[in-house]
Amino acid sequence: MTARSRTIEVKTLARVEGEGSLHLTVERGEVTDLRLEIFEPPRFFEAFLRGRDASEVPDLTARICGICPVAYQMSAVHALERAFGVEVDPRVRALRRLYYCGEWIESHALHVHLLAAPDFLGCASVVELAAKDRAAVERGMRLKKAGDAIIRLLGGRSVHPVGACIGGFTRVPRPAELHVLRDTLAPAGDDALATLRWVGGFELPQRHGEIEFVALRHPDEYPMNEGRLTSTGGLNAPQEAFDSHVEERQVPHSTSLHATLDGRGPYCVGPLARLNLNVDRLPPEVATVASSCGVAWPNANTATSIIARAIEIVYAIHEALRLIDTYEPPVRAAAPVTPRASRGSAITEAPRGILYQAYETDAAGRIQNARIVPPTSQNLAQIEAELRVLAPTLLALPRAEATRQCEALIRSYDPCISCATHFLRLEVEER
Amino acid sequence: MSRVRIVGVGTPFGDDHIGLEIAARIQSTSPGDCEVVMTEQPGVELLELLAGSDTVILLDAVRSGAGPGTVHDLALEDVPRGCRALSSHGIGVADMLALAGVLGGRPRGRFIGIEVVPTAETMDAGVSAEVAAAVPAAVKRVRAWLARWTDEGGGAVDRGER
Repeated sequence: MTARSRTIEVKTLARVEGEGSLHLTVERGEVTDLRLEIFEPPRFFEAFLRGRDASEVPDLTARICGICPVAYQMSAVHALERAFGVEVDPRVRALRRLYYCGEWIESHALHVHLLAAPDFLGCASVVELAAKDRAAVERGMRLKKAGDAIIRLLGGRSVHPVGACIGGFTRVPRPAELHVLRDTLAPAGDDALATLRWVGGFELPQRHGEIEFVALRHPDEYPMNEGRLTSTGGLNAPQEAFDSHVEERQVPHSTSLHATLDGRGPYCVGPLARLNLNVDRLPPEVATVASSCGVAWPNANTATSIIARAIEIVYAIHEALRLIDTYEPPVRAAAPVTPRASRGSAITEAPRGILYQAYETDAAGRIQNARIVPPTSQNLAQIEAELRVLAPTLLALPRAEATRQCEALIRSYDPCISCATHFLRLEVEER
Repeated sequence: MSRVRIVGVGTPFGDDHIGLEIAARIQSTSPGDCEVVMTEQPGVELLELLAGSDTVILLDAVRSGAGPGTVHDLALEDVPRGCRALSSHGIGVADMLALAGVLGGRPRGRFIGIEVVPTAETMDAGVSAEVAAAVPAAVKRVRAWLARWTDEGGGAVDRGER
């Protein structure tokens, strides 16, 4: 048998602004080169936030991502509230949780139905899936709309929402508006359960590997805006200590930084990490359905991320309804804010995992320094590590199948790749 | 019959802005024979924009290998699909048109695409000169279709050029 060298290139071409690709070289069953090349925009935001008034930060950071703007707003307002010593009304806190539920629902519904499900059902894309199982895709669309409705109410609009500000919201809803929202959300609960049953029946690949999962953990709640930084490897630290545990380093092949935890190596954030670390924080009704879908939690198979997402949709709708039912309008939409020279940081749970932001301000409240660590850049090193485990098994496979497996693995992390569209090229080099 | 909806798709970056630019040009010169909307989010949101009208002209930047500034004019159902997205952020115009076709929410109409040059250098540079030069031709295409549909009394929008 001759030595074989194979280069697999998943070339991704951007709409225009983004770029990313996977380059993989395997020689004699050994991965000799693996690079996930990602163009990632948040780095520019860190630079152009400097000199801006702190009050502008929630609206500016919301523009980083079209899928998860709420997450960027939430980490920003919490970081700046810490910097300025702002106390937030518990009723505002509850509304923010509702706001975040909306984003988890819309983002997860999109990923589960349109992106990930076709991987497990032998469909080339959601278009093929829609032809086969139109009801499932339509259910996904309904769920996404339900999530959008929450964001629209609290954020003013569902795309690039503007409702959040330091201290609270620019406007809080009237109880009557929440009643209307409740009518939209209540039927989504059944859709979410149907989706969980659906994905619970998928035949998932078994991916094995030692993975350290990282997520927030709150004393009582399933984590969204608050909690300590914890990991399945024993990390348990206050949020503010993020910087002393996570090291970001540059890698030549990516504009995104790669993150490692406590010198141990890559780690995984996202719905699977959250569920693995917080399954005991689900309310009993949700915990019951979570344990009835054929997967034991915690588990390290990243293919089960789709089930974790479906469980979180069920949870987010359940939690949103609870928050609506217990809603008391805050006296003030936002607490008063007095800027000062200070620094503050915060981590919140974006749909794709923990999102860290840190700011330094001057006495007038202008941003002197900004740091944004999105979930995708934290996951990149982990995605590469998992691809490295997968790579040797690809040699024996037909080209199309090898590419498909790489894609499915990357998709289970749902990386944020700068709103890019992707064209695929598989290059095989055999010697 | 609803008014024809013009949907401009693009971002503020470089040549990718071209779809928005043409839409803005139509809007500023529109005698009210169409409704112009613009979006930077051509994902699932596009489905709702498409479903809101029964005749649509979609304007967007494209890459097919033709020369920069080439104007493509296709029936919506003839827009070829690219490859599948790797993340939720990658769901694009062609996917949504195809999905709308299967789900039954795809209007009749045209896709007018301007060939662009996607280099990192053009990202923050605004629309390049050779792509911007295509604006009048693209606007003319849009106007021609609007006129033709008006002549037909808002009747059928057929697939071909006839």
